[in-house]
Amino acid sequence: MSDLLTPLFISTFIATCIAGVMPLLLASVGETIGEQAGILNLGIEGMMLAGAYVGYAVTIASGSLWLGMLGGAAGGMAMSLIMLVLNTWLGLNQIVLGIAITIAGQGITSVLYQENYANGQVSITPDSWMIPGLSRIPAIGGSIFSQSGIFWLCIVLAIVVASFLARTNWGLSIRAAGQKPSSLDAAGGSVMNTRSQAVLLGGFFSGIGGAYLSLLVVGAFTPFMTQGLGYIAIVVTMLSRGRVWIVAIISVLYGFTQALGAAMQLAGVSIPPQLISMLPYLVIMAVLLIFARSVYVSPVLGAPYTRGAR
Amino acid sequence: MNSTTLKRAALAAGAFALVASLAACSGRGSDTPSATSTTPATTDSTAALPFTRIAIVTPATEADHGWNQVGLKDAGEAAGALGLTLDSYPNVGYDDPQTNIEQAAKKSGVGFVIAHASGFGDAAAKAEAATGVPVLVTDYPSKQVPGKVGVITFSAEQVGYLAGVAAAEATTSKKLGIAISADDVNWYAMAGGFDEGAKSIDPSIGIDVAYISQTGYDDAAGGKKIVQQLIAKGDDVVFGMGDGATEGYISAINDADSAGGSVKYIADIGDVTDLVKNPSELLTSALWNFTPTYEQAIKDIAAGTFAQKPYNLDLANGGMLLQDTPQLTSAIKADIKTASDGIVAGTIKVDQAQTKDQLDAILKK
Repeated sequence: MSDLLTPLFISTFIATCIAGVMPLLLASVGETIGEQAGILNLGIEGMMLAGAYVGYAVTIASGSLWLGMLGGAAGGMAMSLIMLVLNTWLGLNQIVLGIAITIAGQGITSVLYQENYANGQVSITPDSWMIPGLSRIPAIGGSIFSQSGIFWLCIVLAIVVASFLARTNWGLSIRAAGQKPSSLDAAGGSVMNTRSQAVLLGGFFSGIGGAYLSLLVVGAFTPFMTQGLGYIAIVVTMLSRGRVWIVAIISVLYGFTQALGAAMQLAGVSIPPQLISMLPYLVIMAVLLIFARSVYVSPVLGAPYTRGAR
Repeated sequence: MNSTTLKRAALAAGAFALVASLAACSGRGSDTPSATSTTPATTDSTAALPFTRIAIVTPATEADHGWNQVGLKDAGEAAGALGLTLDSYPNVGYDDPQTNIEQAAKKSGVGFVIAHASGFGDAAAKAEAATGVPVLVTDYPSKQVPGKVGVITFSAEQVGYLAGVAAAEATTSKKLGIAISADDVNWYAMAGGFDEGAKSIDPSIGIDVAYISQTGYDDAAGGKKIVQQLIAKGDDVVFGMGDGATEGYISAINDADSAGGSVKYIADIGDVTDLVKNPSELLTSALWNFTPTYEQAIKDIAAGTFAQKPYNLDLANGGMLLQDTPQLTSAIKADIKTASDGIVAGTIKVDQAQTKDQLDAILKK
């Protein structure tokens, strides 16, 4: 047990927590924007995989993690175009479309991986921004204050979204589109445009969530690598009631329990393998049970908007 | 019909076509897997065989650097050696293996199907009953039906023992790590053998074991997290077992090496040389070799003696072996040879763990 209380192990534990938190946080932020606008995006898993693959491919081609993240964002947004056109514009069923996007994302990225990288996988080592002074603090310096610059940018993006959703007219329009779109329409706003922005931003954040996973967490792309993370993001979003800070707390809880599973094993606690993977989900379910009455679902979530329809 | 409706209909049709084509790309669990055939130069040995083709069905592709990679490669080698054509059906998933195996068996000229997954056992037996084409499954001797369903079993603990010997010789921290991707009988056997092999060299060596999850075979992110923590605890040789999770294991090793560490990795089943950034990171791999067994099974079908008993992969028949690398010094190789000879001769008995409880009992010895 004492060899788990070293600065190196604690630092690694925190780093593995962060690795579990960030992809979920980013995907959940994207889903939050969508759900606030009335879009239930079940295709988030497929969008994350598209972002993970495109991010990886762009990084290999360009040698730049930053360009890779941009590529990941583009990959996620490209998949979100399906939702944009078929649901927001044409009013087709969001649930069916979401499932189709997930299946398509899994299939496309798997096929492309087999074609391009199956026999020549390249491993990516993330960059590290050593923040002067802070990066030398034992345990947290080597984990929190030695992260990639992309980590800090993603944190800033999440804070910006939280502020914009809560404090700007744009955020008000997003929420109006998800709670009473006819009121937004009557006030001169465009439900179509607002929801379109929400869908694209959802794709953007899902894409960079996936790219974060492939580039900064694993350092490689593997088929189906999201392992259901997109579905967890949907649950996190519903629990958060549109508040990004709650999304952040639940994501941290998820990342912590994921890292805890490995640490407990190394501490000598005999845990059945079946329980290890269940641990984060059990925590999420416990939160769901505790806060079940607080779960808020938009009254028009999943319903396409038609002007004048009753 | 007004123009707006027409535009919407056209857009919907186009979008539907797009989604349908994207979904059609889905590469896993397809009901109609795409087969690739490998036709070797004809040899005299085909004359004695009552068929000209064999097939292999695998749940994933060769990109896993492990189970699927080796199965596909070895089936190709066995077919080539016997002058047969191999039909490969990789990446069929677990959704409907019976249909995939039946389709493989029904192709004209196919006289033998390898159902290369422990989860294919029941499906393969049903496919054999439906088509009459002998099948070969893995892991569970209870599935054996003489003349119809053959079973491959594994003495994985033997090669695990040799890997443990190599690790014990290579470690400087006297701490070894085992990363296990899933609840898998062969992973338990290899891990138990690894523990016994390492402690045969130095009983004071500490061994840590970390699992990803019950079915984390392809969970690269989970694999990286557990190996990072093993390394942080001081383990300087890590034995990783896992199919696609191997990507994550090796990524953690690569990162540690890039940060100035000196951690060695031992792979399992397949060759991972192309994944490591620095070749010195790879100590060895506990290789599995199916080729002789596949060849024997095919010859047994021709002789009418197929599946009279399980086909076992072990050190004695070359089904299990350690990969030779520059990191295996002559001293390490000498110890490996001594251990290997002892296992084959029966003077060294290696326990075979088949459950986590049995593995825990071995680790506590």
